[in-house]
Amino acid sequence: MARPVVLFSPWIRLWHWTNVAFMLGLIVSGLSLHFADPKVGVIDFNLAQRVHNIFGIALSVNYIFFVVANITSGNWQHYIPKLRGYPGQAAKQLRYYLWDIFLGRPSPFPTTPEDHFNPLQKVIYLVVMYLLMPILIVSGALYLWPELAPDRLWGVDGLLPVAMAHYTVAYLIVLFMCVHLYLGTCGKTPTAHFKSMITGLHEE
Amino acid sequence: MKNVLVAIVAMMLIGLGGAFSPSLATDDGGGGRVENDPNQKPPLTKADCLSCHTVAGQAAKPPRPNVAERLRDQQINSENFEQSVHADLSCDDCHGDGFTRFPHRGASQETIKTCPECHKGQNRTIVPEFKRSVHARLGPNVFTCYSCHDPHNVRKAASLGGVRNLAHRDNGMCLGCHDSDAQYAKWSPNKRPDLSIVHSWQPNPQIHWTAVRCIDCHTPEKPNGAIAHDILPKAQAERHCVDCHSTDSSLLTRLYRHEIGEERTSEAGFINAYVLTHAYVVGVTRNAYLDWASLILFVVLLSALAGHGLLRFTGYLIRKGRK
Repeated sequence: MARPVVLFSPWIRLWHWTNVAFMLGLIVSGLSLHFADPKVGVIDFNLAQRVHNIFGIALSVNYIFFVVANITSGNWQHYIPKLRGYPGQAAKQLRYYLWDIFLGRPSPFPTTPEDHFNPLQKVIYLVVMYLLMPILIVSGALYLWPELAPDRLWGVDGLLPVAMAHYTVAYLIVLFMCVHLYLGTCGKTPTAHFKSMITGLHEE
Repeated sequence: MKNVLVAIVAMMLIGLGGAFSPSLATDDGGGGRVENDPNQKPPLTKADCLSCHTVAGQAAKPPRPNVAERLRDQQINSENFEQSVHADLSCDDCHGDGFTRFPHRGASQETIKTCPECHKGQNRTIVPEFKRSVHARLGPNVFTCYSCHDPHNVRKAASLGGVRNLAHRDNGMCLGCHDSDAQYAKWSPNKRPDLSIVHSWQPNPQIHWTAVRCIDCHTPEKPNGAIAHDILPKAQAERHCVDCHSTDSSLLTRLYRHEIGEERTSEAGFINAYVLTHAYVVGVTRNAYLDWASLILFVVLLSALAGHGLLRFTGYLIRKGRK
């Protein structure tokens, strides 16, 4: 049996689980705000807006921590895809997810301390963390301080495009979280990846 | 000869003057003619009144600093008045008689009509409402219609050109006193509460105050959508955000009652789309098509993941069986 190796440093585990807590709070409060109804509110609107504002700021601070720690620790390198031969690598990983995984075959890009993510993960994580998250945070900040948003845009209230961007990006991140959660069960055992993110250890 | 010519011209002018001077004879109502008191002055027209009681009228006259100073608080904005629902009335319809002398006698004020003399029907509804109002606590006859409503500047909500203008106009009535220490002190010996602090529970109060009216929260909702006159104190005012922030928002039958479109959902899928032209309101103006597309995509994704998990588990069972 292979010896476990350290895969996730304490800061990234701390960031990951606090991010989970903030995201869940934001999803529940965000849904309560978006589908606000006096009869069937998940959380009362007054409480939901407070929770959403506080958790939104917390998530933003956490994100800044993530970016800074990612740069200083060198963890950012795991997110950069190898461009040479990328389509072939992506196809190989896709084939694994759509066929080989059912046959119990090994992953073509196993997780190692040197390379955490497979080619598809690299691109998806790059888009989510460095494109969608900034849009989510900036649009959320404009919501929180609407005086900073444009007064009018394309003949409508300037907050409409901000709201649409916030809602759409938040929704895409929720879809990502669903897939992320499911793929978390695709380790050596269904709970292996989850344990790994708690202990930081990975069994090769 | 020169003197004779001057005399002829003078006689002609006197004759013409007699022909064009306002007749003092009036109809007595019975078809006969009666002679009025020759000392009584002809009735004043609205233009006569506005020539003193507007800034523009004063400016057109030779400077009279003492008169201008005396009339400083008795000027009206003629532009606002012309757009007012009272624009078609003449001044003496409300101000009565006794304003023909200059300066007007103090007793002339007593001839000014009160609002209920014309607005009898509305008054029957308004009086009991007002008696429950926080303003009624100031005592009887202290707070009057004029305390909030300027009869020279009463416009229908629908004529103001949009909800933001309506909010600006109506909130101006409240803020005139509640945002001014000097004005507030005229009514109450208490220290004026700071509106920003009182409303600090509300997110972005300044944004709310430009988009909705104070009375949208500080009056009880009436079934017909009209605004009640019982202004509620802060303890009784609306604090449930969701009453406004939902697709069946109470704003639709109050603030937006003059804006309601025929279609509840626009072609682009926005619910209450007519609100969007004025403001994006969380919970009120969401897009139904986007919501449905989101839900369908979410269900498809979860189904795909569940199917993938089921195939993985089946493969695992088969492999286990082979061993």
